[in-house]
Amino acid sequence: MTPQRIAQIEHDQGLDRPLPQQFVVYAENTLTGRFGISFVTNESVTTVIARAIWPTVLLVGSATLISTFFGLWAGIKGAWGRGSLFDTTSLFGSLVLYSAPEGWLGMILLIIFVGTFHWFPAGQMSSNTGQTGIANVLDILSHLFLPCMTLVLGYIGEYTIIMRSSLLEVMGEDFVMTARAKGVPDRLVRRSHAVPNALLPTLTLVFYSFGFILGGSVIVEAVFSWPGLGLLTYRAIQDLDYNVIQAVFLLFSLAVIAFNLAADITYGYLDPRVREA
Amino acid sequence: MMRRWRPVALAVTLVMVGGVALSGSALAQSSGTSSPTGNKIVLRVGVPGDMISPNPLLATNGDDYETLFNAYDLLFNFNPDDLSPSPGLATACNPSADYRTWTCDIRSGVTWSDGQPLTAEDIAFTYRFIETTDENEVFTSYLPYHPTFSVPNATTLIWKSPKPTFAPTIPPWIPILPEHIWKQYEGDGKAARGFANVPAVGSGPFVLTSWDKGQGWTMEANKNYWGGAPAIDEIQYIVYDSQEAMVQALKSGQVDFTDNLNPTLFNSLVGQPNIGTVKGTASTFTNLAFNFGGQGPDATNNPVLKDLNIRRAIAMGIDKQSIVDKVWQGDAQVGSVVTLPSRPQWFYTPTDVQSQAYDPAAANTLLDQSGYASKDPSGIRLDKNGQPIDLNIITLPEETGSVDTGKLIAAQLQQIGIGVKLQSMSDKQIENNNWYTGDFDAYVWGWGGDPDPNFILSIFITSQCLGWSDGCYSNPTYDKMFAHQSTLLDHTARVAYIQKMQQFIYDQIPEIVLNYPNYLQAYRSDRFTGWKPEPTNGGTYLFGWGNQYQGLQPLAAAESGSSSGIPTVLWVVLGLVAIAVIAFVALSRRRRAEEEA
Amino acid sequence: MQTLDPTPSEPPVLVGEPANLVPPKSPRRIGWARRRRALSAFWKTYRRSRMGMVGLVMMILFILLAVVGPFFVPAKDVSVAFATGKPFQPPTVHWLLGTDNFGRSVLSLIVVGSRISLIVGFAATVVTMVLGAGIGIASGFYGGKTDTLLNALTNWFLVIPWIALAIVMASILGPTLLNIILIIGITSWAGTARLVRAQALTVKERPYVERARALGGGDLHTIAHHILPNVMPVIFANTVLTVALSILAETTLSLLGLGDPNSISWGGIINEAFQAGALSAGYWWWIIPPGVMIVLVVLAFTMCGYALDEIINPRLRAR
Repeated sequence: MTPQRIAQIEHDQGLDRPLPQQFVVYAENTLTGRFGISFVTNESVTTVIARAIWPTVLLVGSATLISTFFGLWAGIKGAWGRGSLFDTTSLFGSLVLYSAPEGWLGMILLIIFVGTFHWFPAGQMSSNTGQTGIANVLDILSHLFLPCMTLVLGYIGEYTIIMRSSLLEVMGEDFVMTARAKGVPDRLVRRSHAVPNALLPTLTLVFYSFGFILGGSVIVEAVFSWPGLGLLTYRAIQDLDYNVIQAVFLLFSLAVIAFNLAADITYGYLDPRVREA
Repeated sequence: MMRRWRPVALAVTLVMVGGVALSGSALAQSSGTSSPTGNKIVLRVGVPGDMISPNPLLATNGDDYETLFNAYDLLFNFNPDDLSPSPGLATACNPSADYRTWTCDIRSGVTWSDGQPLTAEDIAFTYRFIETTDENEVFTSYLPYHPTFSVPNATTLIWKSPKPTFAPTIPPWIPILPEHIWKQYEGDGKAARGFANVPAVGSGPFVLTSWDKGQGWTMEANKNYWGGAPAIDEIQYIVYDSQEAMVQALKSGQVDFTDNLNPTLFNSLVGQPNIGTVKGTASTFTNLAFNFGGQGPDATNNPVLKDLNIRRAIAMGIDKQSIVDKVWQGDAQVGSVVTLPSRPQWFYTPTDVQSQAYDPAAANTLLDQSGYASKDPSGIRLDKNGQPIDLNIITLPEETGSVDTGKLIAAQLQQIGIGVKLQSMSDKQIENNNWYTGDFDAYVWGWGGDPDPNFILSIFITSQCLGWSDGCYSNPTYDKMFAHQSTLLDHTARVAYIQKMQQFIYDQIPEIVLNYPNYLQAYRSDRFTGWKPEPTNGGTYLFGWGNQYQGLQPLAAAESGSSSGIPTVLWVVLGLVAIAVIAFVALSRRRRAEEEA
Repeated sequence: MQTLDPTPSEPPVLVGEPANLVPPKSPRRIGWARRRRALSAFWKTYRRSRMGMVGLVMMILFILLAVVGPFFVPAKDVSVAFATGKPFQPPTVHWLLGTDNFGRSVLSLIVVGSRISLIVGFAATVVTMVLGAGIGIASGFYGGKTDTLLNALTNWFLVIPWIALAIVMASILGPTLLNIILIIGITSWAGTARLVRAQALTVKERPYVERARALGGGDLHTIAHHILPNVMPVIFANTVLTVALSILAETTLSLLGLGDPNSISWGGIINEAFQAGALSAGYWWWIIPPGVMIVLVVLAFTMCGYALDEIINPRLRAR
């Protein structure tokens, strides 16, 4: 390769212009959705990302739903029976899960479910055996199971703890006390007074924490070779594929901002105090 | 509060469930359409990394070359016994008395996979195309002295060289491309490299039909292949980011073959039921290649490496046997020269192999005597400008053994007062950045190389800087030697001279050949039979020297399709769904009961 | 990963006014006496939290391990080149946790790795706290344009997913220990800044702060003597949780291959084992123990932080 050829590559990528000008070009390209091409695959970054987006939606979406559902359930049950065996166990379990690195959790699941029992495939999104219809759906589900479980285990603890503290707080509020004093049955107090008010901040926090579960997906996708944005990011780091790294960074940020916005709007709609303020 | 809350929560949940379901169905459809199989016989090959490109002008790694081998023909194939040229598209090439004109007889009746005839014209086109369009100089070294090509008839190719040459019999490792597809890119390197080449029109035993980047690629059998139709219908290469997942897939029968395993995983597979293991003996070498600068004024290479005594001391400071033991777990041989022990016709044992044997004490003495006696407080020697000698060594995580070898070298060089900073990078990252900026002192990588040593010897010449050269080594004496060897038409004379060149490289140490590791593969022994090792003696079953897939015959299990663990998984998933449904029903019942209370 | 505290903390309750004071000799003495009393009152409350005490004991043990442990491991034992064991020895009496691919004792690696893991945890926390407290106090205390600007910066960092930012920074700066510490610190200060700002805003309005200013106390004096002491409890609880998060962050970066290849950390050990194929080969002793250590140390700090939070945040106290 000759110096002329290198100069040509640099020119093609705009690397021979002064830095401020490069920044303007970058900003312009970003705002107009032109992320350039991936240095590694020579495809446009948009194509690369479009291919990886659905697997991540599937993984992160299902993991968020499951961990939120069970996390909230355990949190409510724990707070209502504060100090009970369930509460102590679930609080301790939550703290342990919260303390475990997601990638390592994934490896432990691999040792148990793949290495020992051979129940699930160890990675990828499908067996590539060309099956169609329901067999294909089941195939994808069986591949989804372990990475999804890893994310669920990684975040369920956090959601349980948040829900629990939030409910404990609400349970000390006057209107809950009043309802109890009025003789409203315990279950109804919980269902109609305490839980809805505690759910609000909790769900908001779940929305806010979306960025973290998205971040967790990077390592989990890398461990399980799940072909989503996380794996794309992992590979782009290894290959220093700057255009892809930039685009993923932007996309992640946009997703988190969108979720925060959604949280704010929902909160405003649900809580009149916020709406009027 | 309650009333307002519920519809929103419901809506949010529905939107999320909808999104998940939508993504699931999108994926189910996209992967379902890829190959509606009937009773196809499919060979599934697990690979630890994706292709870089099926475009010959961009091909770099072993996966690319394996694909090109299957998709295209070369002028000559390789004889599996000794890797000498054997009839390919050309049945023979005969030189004139002065070795300047070669006349090749080209096979007749060969067609491209799209039905067009393949003639000598296509071969001449391909070689001219390389001359005009291969700006990255991937293939140009096979066509020395800018030869010209002419085609008197469809089955004759005439290769005219301004100087005597034996280049046609090396043979040129250039895939023969269809003129009717590639003509439009001639002379326009950028456009040619931009051509996706999927699906690819070729003449080889298999046709590249699709490439799902990051996931894998598919090749279908070319039933009209001139060398005979393959017995299998399709090859699927499946990319695994972790070797763990790849090995598990082999154990559960999702893949039939796994390429390039690390020794730990390979040993874990030995003796497993229905799994066979293959060792390709010493088919590559690993090296510690020094950077001599020359990439440009900003190169940050350490100039101290230009001192031969430093390089000798480093060579003496590295315990190659410990790398064999610890990194390769015995599956390697101690390295010395740049040819391979698996090609005995070229391999050579240096006369003074003791002079670079592991001996930290002697290395320390050598450094003390060469003007590097003073050290900084941490025990690192100072160079002649008083700077501590700290080497920035790059290792490649995707390359088996590279990172661990780097760690061993770092610890061992500490003993002789040379500091090492390790940095991990992928091959793509090095190619995109460090190679051209010269921002490294050495790296731990390796070479496979052609059967003929011409190529591996060429990487040390000055003009290969920023081409295939590892670190822009430059030595006028060596350049002359290389030019001279390509004029030696007598085989015995050339062998003797090439031994001299190997000795020269060994003494000058532009890089340290660390080891000749074995190439480790594993396969399902219950799926296919008819594996063909290349080279025949101690070769690999695939990723060898071409034409290894045609002889594969399915055993009963392969015809009955995949025997993966899906049934169990299916029950588990269904069971979980059932539990969830029951729980939901039970909970909502109780809720209703409460409300009525 | 984020703080467990779902709401910004309320004002701390640690500044209890003592009832019967013995006439003091100097204002400084008063201050010290009051602080000592507050601290002992605090300790009495803390001691009652079983979770907090368990966490504290574990935390002290880990710190001891990191400080003292490595002195008992000869450098040779963790050297890739000079370790004496055979590769992949399963746990035995001699090799309590087996050996890795270089024949190094996994137990020795874990002991040596504890230091790096904790150093990263604490150092990144210091960066986080200095940035978070500094920006939070400046934002809350000065108000106006400074506040608008700093608050916007804080919100931006809150929104950016930390892993994306960390990855971008790590791949540009390169994976050295110092860079990893800086990266973790820079990506995680925003939560602290938000907490501290809220606290500073309320403290600023208290009468004694106005009094101090009226008496001619400068900005620095006010911040150092009035704002900071009152913000300290919030920072303290947050600090302990941040150490846990920083250790987790280091692990995540190591598992992504962005750790410092020249030093031994727990995350690095797991990554090496995974890359070498320890899962398939069944070398569980190489992959489970370092992970368990991470879980335990993070658990210890989290439990302490959580107990502190329950004390400092009165709304969480049992009723």
